[in-house]
Amino acid sequence: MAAKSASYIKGVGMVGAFANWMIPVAAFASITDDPSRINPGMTSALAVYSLFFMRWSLAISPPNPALFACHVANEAAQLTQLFRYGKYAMSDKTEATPAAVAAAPSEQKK
Amino acid sequence: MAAISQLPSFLRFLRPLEGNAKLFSNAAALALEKRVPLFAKFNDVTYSAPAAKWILSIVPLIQAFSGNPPVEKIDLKQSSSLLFTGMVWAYYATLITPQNAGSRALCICNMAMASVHGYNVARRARHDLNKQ
Repeated sequence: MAAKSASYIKGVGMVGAFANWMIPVAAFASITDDPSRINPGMTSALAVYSLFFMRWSLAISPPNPALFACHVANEAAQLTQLFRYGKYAMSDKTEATPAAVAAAPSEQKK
Repeated sequence: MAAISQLPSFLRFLRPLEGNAKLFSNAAALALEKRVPLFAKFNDVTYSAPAAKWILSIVPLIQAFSGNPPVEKIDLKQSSSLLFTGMVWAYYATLITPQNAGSRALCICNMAMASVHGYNVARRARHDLNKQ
């Protein structure tokens, strides 16, 4: 592959960081949803992935501070979601679930 | 090669990490690197970060096979965001420096991530359309 200029790589890095911002934005957008809709497997996977890529975004060349900021936000978003799910999982689910399913906003739209 | 002080000034506390791929660089970790070659791989973040990103394809794949969560509980926002980042990052991985086994792994794992989450988005959309 032909070598690309540094400014081009930085530009694609910005596009990559912008695309990555969709992950924390998606998590923050579903922060008012019912905690029973949270997928604990994917949320914890995203939390671990963000820790590694916070470090990675500075180790590569050219460094990508926009990506670093994105992963800080993502770590906060995923840990918040995981905390909400943990609170729901440890609470008495028997009374929460039927009412919550009836009142879930994404269910009502359909 | 290490691009020192390209970070903005308010992030100057992160400058020691700039262009430094070692996760742990204390004496004990460097001694362990010599004895355990696998730890040396893990300690280089340009290898271990792409390896860690594989969980973003493996977890939804296991969940798709086990059927838990069911198709109507797939998080459409999360899945579509991961589909788009997978597509952009498969290309970005071919541009960054260093170009090594880690960056190639990053390209392949982003392609896998885009396809698994694309499949999840597609089957959720098909389920929603059939219900109408």
